[in-house]
Amino acid sequence: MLTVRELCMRFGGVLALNRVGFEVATGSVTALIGPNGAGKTTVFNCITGFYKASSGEIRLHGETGEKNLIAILGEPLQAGDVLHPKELAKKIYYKMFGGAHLATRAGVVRTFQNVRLFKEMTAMENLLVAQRHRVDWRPLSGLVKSRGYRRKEAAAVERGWYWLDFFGLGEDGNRLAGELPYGRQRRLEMARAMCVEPRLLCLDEPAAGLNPNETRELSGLIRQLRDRHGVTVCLIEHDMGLVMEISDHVVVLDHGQVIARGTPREVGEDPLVLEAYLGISGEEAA
Amino acid sequence: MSATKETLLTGLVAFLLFAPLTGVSLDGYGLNPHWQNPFLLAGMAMLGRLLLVRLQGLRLPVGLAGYDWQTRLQRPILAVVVIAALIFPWLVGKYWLNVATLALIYVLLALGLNIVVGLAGLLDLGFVAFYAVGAYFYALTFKYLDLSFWIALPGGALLAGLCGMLLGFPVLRMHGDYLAIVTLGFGEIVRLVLNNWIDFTNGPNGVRAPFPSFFGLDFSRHPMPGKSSFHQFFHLSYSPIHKDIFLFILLFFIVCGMVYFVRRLRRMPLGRAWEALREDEIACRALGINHVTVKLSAFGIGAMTGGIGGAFFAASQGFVNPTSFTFMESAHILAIVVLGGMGSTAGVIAAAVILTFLPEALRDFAEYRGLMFGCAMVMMMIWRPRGLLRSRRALFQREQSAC
Repeated sequence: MLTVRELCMRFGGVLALNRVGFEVATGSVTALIGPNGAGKTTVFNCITGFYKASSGEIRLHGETGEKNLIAILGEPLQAGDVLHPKELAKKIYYKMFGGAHLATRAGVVRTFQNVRLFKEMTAMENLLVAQRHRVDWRPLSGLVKSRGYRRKEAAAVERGWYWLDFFGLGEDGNRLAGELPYGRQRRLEMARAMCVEPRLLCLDEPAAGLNPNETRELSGLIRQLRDRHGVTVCLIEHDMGLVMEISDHVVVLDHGQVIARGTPREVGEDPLVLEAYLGISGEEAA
Repeated sequence: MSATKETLLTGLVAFLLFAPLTGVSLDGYGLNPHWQNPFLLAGMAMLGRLLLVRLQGLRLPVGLAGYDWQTRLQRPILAVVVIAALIFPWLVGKYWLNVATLALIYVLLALGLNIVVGLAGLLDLGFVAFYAVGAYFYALTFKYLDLSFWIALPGGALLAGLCGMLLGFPVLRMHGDYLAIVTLGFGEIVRLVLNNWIDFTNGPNGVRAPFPSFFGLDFSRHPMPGKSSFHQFFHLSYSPIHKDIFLFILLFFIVCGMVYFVRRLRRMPLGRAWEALREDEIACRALGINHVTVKLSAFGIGAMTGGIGGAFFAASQGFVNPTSFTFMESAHILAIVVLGGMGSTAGVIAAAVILTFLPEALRDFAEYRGLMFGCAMVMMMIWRPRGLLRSRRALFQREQSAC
């Protein structure tokens, strides 16, 4: 589904990511873990187009072919481009109109570490905003409420109720997102991401601030998303219980480098990982 | 206390209060009774009390459902407003009619700015620039190309919209304070260009703008030879107020159209995207919404409304010059939007009408106008920071959408 190769991200003199490489298999749950400041969220920001990677490649594979997630952010123009007018036109187009929204349209949708809902809008409106591709944007058909417009709008609302019910928010459709309790806001954010119909869902610490009960429910929901809706999930998480329970593949980052990859069990026994987390070397631990 | 009892009590108190105040008047050494006055006033007070009691009875508990009584009364209130607005120009004189026309222009401007500031959350301190573009487009195209109002109106709106998008491009990456300063500068640039490009705009001396025609009929007492005038065509005796009534009603219908447009927009994908952009731009991008086009469309449509307002301003004044388009004007429009409640259509309309009529009605206190205005703003910010009326949200039911 997703291949990340040799990804480097530089902020001035700081090398936040140093040749990070991993793969996310279609239909899997991949967890990205590591101590604070390891660069997990930076990887996410690169994948979802919020940061432009300094070098390396990120490719999304799918039925429609491959998509280069770095090119859509706009690459620097070079003198050699003049020889390939088609490529140049593409580059200029992406420079002007490129950005994170194109990564989303390619199928990579994310949630945020600190919940980012549209607080002054109702839960349902939050979901409708996400269904950009489903509704009729033309102002005129909306003004006269044409039949096509109403049908599309009704379909979007119905889809919204479906996801609200799925995440157990059926009662909250008409409440303002900002006045929902925290746990529900988290779920609403996931529902909103699902309304975009992602192929790869990136969850940034979905269990942060949830109580053990809610975390348990969450792992059930994530598993259902993968099994019933065919979504590939990539998540950053600190709750090791959750990671060990639901992920098929774990990637461990420390100081901007991948230090281990594998199944949860393999990673849990890796001396490098133990060192990174506990600050002791493998021999001492043994 | 039952509603009837309360109403009667209110009537009694009002009568006792108004009877000595308005019921008699001093005429030399004698007293002239005017018994109809206190009865009328007491009746009005009773009616008001009754309505209030009834409305409170309808109010539902907290949450969004609490707005139900508003939806129920929407149509009757709308009908009353429309009828009142259509009767109004025949009852008042030229002076108040002109004030009302100005109020409608401010409603239009405030609705436009409300799109940019209230819905899309982009603080624009140079909104008057688009107002000026609309006004000058009409005056200048008449001067050089002899275009009529009916061509200049959409033309000016389009040009203003284009200017809005043009301004939008450089400020795409800006937020809050920075955006405000850039737009402020843009507003001043437009005013200074109009002021100093004397060859083209006639500078501070201004440009004449003619009165719009009514399907080719003008409103002059003695039309140009070979042409017919409004009062001749309809066999009316000439009255200078005809044209003011015409302009008022025309503007009223345009404002109605605009109100409908803005109200619909809020329930349409575009308006929802604007509001989402105001709430959280990063989340918007993460949902695949192109923030560039959404922002530009907000700037463009807001500016377009300003342009329409400008064309009407030029037509009603008959003359434009740069002193009408200072920063104070921008601040005034922004104050209307803030007082009315950002994003709320009804609140903005109410604020525009009140803020235009009140200073006119209180001419005697003209010196204290700024002071009162400032106090009102401070009090609003303390007690009703979200404006006079809070905007309502669309509600959705299962199986059917609330269009």
